[in-house]
Amino acid sequence: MTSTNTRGFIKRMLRILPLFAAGIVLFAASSVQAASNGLGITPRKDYSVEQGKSISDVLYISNLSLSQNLEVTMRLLDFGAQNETGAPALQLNEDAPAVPWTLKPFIKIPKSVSVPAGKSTNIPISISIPASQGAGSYYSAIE
Amino acid sequence: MAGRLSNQGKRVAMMVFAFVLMGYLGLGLAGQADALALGERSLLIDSSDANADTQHTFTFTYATSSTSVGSVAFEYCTSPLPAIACSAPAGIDASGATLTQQTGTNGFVVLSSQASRIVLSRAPSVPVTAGSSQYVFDNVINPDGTPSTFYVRITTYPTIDATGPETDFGAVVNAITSGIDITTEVPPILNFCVGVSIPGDCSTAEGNLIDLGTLKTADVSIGTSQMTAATNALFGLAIAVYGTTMTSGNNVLTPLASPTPSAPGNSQFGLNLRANSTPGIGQDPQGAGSAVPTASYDIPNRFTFNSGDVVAISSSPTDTRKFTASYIVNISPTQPPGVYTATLTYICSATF
Repeated sequence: MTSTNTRGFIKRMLRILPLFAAGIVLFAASSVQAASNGLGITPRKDYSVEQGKSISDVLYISNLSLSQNLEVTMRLLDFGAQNETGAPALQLNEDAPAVPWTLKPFIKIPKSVSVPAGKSTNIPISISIPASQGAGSYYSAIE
Repeated sequence: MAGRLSNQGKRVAMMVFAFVLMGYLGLGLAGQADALALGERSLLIDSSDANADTQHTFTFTYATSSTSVGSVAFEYCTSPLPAIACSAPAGIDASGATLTQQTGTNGFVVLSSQASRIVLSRAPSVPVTAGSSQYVFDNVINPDGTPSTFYVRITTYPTIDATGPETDFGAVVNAITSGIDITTEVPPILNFCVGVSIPGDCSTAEGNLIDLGTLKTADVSIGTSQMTAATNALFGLAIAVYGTTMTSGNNVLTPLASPTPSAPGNSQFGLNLRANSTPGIGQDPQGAGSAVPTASYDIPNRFTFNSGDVVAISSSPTDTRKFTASYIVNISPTQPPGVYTATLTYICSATF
């Protein structure tokens, strides 16, 4: 049995990457009008958290459209390195096996948020690291 | 009667004593009333931080024009009242003070500079009383702020060494403050928008459906979309495209795995982020930003598509940059009929 003092201070480097995804549909037939969108987001957050501890924070989202309200849905994604440029290679397939450095089990985020036209809002997030979690760096993205 | 003072004697004695006492007080009061008050007095200190080595500027108007001024004493005290013995404010140190500027009544040199007293001296002459005089001292160490308020008694003398009767007197006040620190932060933000067209900023983005019309073997079908991105984050941004080629059920148009020219009559689907001449479609990136297309999407008249490709990137903060994606679709003569669609998702993220 080890005391808290001898167990030491183990930090985990946690990195969250919010993403903005927008789609374009190419259609070789009749056209359908739909709304376009623009967002401002907190691009990246880095944390150091001890075993057994939690942190809470907020992510910023701004609706850049002045006329369209937005219903934003969010999900957690794993990612790896695309290449040496630092661009992430996102794991969009939810059925894919989790990567060893995933932060997904430890993050809580709301499923959706509404952002009125021209407004911004803060999204609460929390990260809880189990007391038994090993030391290391963990990364996830919020799409 | 012997050994006792009569009541009359007592009354006389008391009257004499009172006369003498009043006379003494009257003489004392008459002596103070001769020193006139220096006018329009002020003390400006360059820094109000405790213990700061700073500049003290005294400004005042001499009151007495008929008496020569040979010296001026500046004495730092915790009270302005001359009747109260001067107690130096803690921490004050004027021993290194230098007179760097003097206007109005001038011609002074520093005779002595002690921790809490500076004496200026010159050949006695009448002062200038029309308008103010100013004396600037550098290298004065402020008090330590306990108490925060301090005073400087300014006294002029006809003598050259600040001794003897005073001519004019005045006191100025100042204070040592701890200051107010104001801090703020500009957080990192990434802005991104996508539309069929973005005439101005993101608020003008419109459309997310591109109708390519009827596909023909003899001619290429073309379309464009636009996206803008900007970030103040030190780590920059990356824009990637995800999706599939154009499909109709099990029938697909061949995505161009590497940058390839448009070739009507062949099954092709691809895009780039440049202005093209063959076919005539698209625009080069616009705006003051530093984000650029990645190599595969940066070749005019060459088109490619691989889901997950990074199409544009900036490794540092970038102002708004507008990219125009140019799409080409060609079909072979054996292409099965149908409605072909593709949904492309552009994902913008920070780099790491």
